[in-house]
Amino acid sequence: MAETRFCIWCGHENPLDAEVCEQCGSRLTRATPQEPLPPSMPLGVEAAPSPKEPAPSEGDFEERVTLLPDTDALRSLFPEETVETPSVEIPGQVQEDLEEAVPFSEWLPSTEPERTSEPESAPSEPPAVVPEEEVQVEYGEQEPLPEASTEADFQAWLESLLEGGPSEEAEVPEEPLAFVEEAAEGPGKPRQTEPMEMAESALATQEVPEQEPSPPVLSEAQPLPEPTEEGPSTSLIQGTLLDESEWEHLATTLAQPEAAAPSEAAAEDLEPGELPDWLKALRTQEAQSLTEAPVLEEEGEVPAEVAGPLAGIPDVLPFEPRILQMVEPTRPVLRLVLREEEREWARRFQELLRPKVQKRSPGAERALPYGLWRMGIGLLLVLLLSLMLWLLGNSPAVPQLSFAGTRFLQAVAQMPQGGVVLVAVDYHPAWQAEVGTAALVALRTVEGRTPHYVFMSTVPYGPAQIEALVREVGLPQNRYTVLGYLPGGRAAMALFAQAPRAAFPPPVQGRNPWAQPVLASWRGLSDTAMVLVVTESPAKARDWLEQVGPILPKSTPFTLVTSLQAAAVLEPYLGYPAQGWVAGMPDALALAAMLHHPLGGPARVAPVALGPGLLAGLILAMLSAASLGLLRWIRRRGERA
Amino acid sequence: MNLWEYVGLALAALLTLGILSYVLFGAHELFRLLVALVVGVMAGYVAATVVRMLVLPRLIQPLLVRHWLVLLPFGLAFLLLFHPTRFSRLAVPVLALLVGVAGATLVGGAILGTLFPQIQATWQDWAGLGGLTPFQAALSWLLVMAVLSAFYYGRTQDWPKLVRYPVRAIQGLGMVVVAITLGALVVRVYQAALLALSERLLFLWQALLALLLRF
Repeated sequence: MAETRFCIWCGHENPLDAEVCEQCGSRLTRATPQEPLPPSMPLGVEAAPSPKEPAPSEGDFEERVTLLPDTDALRSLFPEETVETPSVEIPGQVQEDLEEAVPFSEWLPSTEPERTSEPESAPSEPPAVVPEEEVQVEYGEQEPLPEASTEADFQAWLESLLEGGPSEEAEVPEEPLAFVEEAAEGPGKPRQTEPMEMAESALATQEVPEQEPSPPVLSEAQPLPEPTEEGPSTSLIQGTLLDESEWEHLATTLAQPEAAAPSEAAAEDLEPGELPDWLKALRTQEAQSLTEAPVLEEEGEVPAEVAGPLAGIPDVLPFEPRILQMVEPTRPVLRLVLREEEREWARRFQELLRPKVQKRSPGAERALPYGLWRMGIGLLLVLLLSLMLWLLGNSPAVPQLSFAGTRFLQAVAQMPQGGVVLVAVDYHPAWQAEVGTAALVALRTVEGRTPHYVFMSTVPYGPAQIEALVREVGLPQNRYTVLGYLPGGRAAMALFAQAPRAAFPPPVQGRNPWAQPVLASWRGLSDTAMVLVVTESPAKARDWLEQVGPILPKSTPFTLVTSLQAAAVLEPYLGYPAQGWVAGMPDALALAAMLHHPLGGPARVAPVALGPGLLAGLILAMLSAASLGLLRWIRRRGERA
Repeated sequence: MNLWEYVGLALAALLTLGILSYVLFGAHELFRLLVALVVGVMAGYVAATVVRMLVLPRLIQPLLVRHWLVLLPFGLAFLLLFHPTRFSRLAVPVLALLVGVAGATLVGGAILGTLFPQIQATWQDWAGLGGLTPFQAALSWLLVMAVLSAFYYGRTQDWPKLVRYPVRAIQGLGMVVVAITLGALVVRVYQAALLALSERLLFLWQALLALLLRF
């Protein structure tokens, strides 16, 4: 598996040699979510390279110090660092405050009223310029931390630090604060550095400059600022801006066991620091409780700090929540087993959320008026149709035979007398009123040629329809043969068209349909007088037309009995392969009238349904649609008002 | 009509009323019961048909007379039972056979039964063999091209304006033709539904009249 680097801003997985993120364009660092920084590492500095990696050059400095945000607030927070920042329009009041701002080295001690102990000896003078090779050692080649973390060793190290002063930078651990905290917690105890702590450590170390790749305070071209008379001289001890007296105070305090751990008493001794006015002006919201995490109301909102002197200022440390979001749940978390009380908490929390989730949908408010409206329209239509049936049903009018019906009559007229007619009954029982009636009329029309019928079906409910149809027509038993149900869909149709006996093999026991004298010499579709398919489905009709139509000889007409709506879809097949069809009730009524075999109920229904009933239904549909639209428009207008 | 016929007529009228009440009351309990009744009767009949016309004559009876060849299709069908299990590989050959045969049948039938006849009929109209006047043939050609171009979904933004705008106009014409066709189909569907409703209403009135006259 190839090594990859994850972008700390968007989480995108990039190649190992990528300098910038392929997705967001951010500069990549070597620290990845899978490889967290060592606990003792300040946030602005990357982990020490392995011995195989080349020593970092001066140009790599910019890449390695990237985790700190490039915010104006953070830069202006430390005015001693003369970092060149892009010109930003600052309000006049803020500009005045900036000019009058107290340097950080003066402001931080002022937040502490009195020191618990003073250093015994003043440190030696800090070096004005740090050699470049030492800088590389400082940022690149991290010295291994001392393994013996006993209290005596730690005390000795602190004393040597105070004696040696800032000049012995190579011997001092790189991250004194983090190291000291680790030592305070206990030797040998693994410590997991939280992102917030890392950020605070980074603030203390002040390795800020991001746009100045060369070390701004550690090079000869830009020497350290001279110590001022007002306050203690500022020295660089491992990149921090703590002055020497603060270092001594820190070392002495941490060397005492009772002072190692932060106590509430010590916290009460500290007075809250006063922020400059310009810094207060940057606050966009009030600082929350120290224990509260930053809450993002909307996606993309910049979180504000909730703790420390920067509380309430947004976008100071924006990476913290993003890093937390990128961290994948660890395996122990995934295997977490909830206790009973935790389950109870979760249940209560879900109960709290439930009223917000179960909001009534807008459609539910319209359900009742819409149902009433549908009932009204339906009742009106039923009453209208009933009235028309009562008024017009006694004087039925015969509809005109369609063009396809005429072609059907022509095909029947060209049939040889006494031939075999294949009838495929594939319609659903629900269509009995329309398709069943049309099939009845069509069979009565064909009956004039006294053929022998061969019935079959490709749907399981077909045999029942065949039985009803035979009974309605009144066929004698020697005039028809029922082959039965043919499973297999269109593939079975194709097989039957080519080899009917293979599709319906003779049974081992019982009555053999092929033993009838008429079928004994029947050679299949090429020897058929007519093919008649009864179906209400356009798809089923198309299957028959596609699988059987091309195989049929031109002397064998292919006809259909279908519904009105299927006939509209089958119009392109009229002529070839279909020779004609009986489409629904209108063609059935017309054919029945021509055969002088009038239908009963359907003859009264069709004139109503196809004439004024259809018109009334269309008008009702349009009126209901228009009134519903008007109703919704009025409701929306009321909601807006 | 005897008494049982009247009972059947009354029952049929009640069932019809229960189904039609969906218009007024939606999917109420009686409607659901009747729909379940229809589905159950249909499923039972289908099962009986399959057993009576397939299983018994084509599997059981041949086995009784020791026609062992029927075990081959039966074995293939048995392999299909493994499809939802972890031994689904056993069903793959049978499924491949079914899908391949069905696809080949569908494509072959569509080409021979639909595509070629439609192209031939359209070409005959354009060639003047379909009995159309030249104006009708030209109109037919234009409408066919418009409908075909309406189903072109490729990128046209890069085309020159002299080509792009006429093509878009023809595409719009094709969409209008498709919309008119679909509208005609919907009217046919509406007609069929009205026919069925009218037939059922007439049946209800006749049944009510017959029952009133009888009792």
